[in-house]
Amino acid sequence: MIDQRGNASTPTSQTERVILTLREMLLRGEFAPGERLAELTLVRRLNASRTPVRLALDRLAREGVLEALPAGGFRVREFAIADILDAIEVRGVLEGTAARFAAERLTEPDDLLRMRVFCRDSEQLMPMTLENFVRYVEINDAFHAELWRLAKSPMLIRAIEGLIALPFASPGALVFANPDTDEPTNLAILALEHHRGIVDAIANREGTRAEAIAREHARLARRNLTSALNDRELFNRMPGASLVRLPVPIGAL
Amino acid sequence: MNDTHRPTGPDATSQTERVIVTLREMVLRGDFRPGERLAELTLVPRLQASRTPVRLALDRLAHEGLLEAVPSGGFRIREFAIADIWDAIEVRGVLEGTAARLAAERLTSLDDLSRLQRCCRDMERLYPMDAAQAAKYFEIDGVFHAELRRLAKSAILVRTIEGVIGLTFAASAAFILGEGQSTEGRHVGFIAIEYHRAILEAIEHRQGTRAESLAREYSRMARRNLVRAAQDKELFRRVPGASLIRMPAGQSSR
Repeated sequence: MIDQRGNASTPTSQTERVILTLREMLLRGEFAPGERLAELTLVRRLNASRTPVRLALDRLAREGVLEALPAGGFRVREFAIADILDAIEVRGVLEGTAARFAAERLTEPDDLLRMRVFCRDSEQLMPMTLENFVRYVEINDAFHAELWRLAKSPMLIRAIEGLIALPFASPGALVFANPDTDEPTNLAILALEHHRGIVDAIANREGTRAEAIAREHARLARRNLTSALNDRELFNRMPGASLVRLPVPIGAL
Repeated sequence: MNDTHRPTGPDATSQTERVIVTLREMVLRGDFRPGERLAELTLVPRLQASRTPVRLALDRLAHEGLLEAVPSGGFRIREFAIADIWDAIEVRGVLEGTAARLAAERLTSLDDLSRLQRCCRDMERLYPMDAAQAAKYFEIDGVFHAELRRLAKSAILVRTIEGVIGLTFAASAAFILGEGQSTEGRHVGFIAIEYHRAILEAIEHRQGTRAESLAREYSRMARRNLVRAAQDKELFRRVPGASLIRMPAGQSSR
């Protein structure tokens, strides 16, 4: 998604380009967790002037992938497994709130049509294969985005966006774990049941129920993560995995 | 970008911090109109700072939600509907509720509660509250909630709370300015202290759900304070950030 206009004429587009490039480099694991980022090196490496680089460092620190050092400067943040579990828990709380708001603020039952279509579409994908899984993650993302929209709360969306700037916190941070077992299909069946429950609760204006189901739903990501942790190669496919320090030996939580 | 290229270090950092604090104050005080565009070059002499700290400050305040980025570049002052402020207070309540629940679930030793206990004792001594004591109350309230977030043992939750807290700016100031003196205000103070005592008790007994509901409900008091302050135009004008809020003709809640 790098700006194709090329020579980045205005300061804003240069800054945006630098932010995108640096974020990608970080998520690709080009720097080690804990590594200090020298502004001057980045200026050369990113082929940009100092102000955009400063702005990009500041922005990525606020997104949480870098941390500002007390003495000045920045280093790559290092996350533990506990941080991912925490991020999943906080996402459950925020999406639970989205589901409750949606139930409380629903005006037209027809507003739920898209969510119902997403449920039907994901049902067609069972049993889950690797190809279906890619499509499943797309539909899942769309379902969640629609849930946030129905909450009708720009403030809540801000909070959610702030959180999922950490890629492993997003609802799409799923991996196809244990492909030779029933696990991928089983998790998808449970997830679909949660999605249906959320839609039903919203339709009936059952705010508390919608909130409880959406919270529990986020915990499926935790099960997916547990499986991913048993296989380092699989884990590395998780978005943002390069920022996470794994316990040695990699194993059960 | 022909900036004075100062090294990144404590000096550059503190200049940026100063510019952020000053600009935030100016915005909340109503020095700019909602929707007004902020020109970087005008701000440089006005804030007596170089361009990079000004750009960093603009970017930061946009992140806090006080400014919005204009697609063609630059920033303008955001305007809030009162519904946005209710929303921010509600979302904050959900997150502070989560902090209280996690604190209850993750408590390892009752000794960890000593700071919360001290806050509660100090609050009780402030009752009944006049305006000065209301200001002191919010100071202790700040310590209590910071401690609650610490006890939640969740760096990610703290980050998320910090992202919305900026937009609940008006609520506590409204209370300090307007409510301490009235009878109703005295009741509010009493009830608020009771909430803190109950949250502490719930955490002590590891009652996660109870701690969460109490902290949520407490944040709705902020909403009441703001509703009441909004009924008095003169008072409301003195609330920081009030100039950014568009009030409907007939003020009411959702």
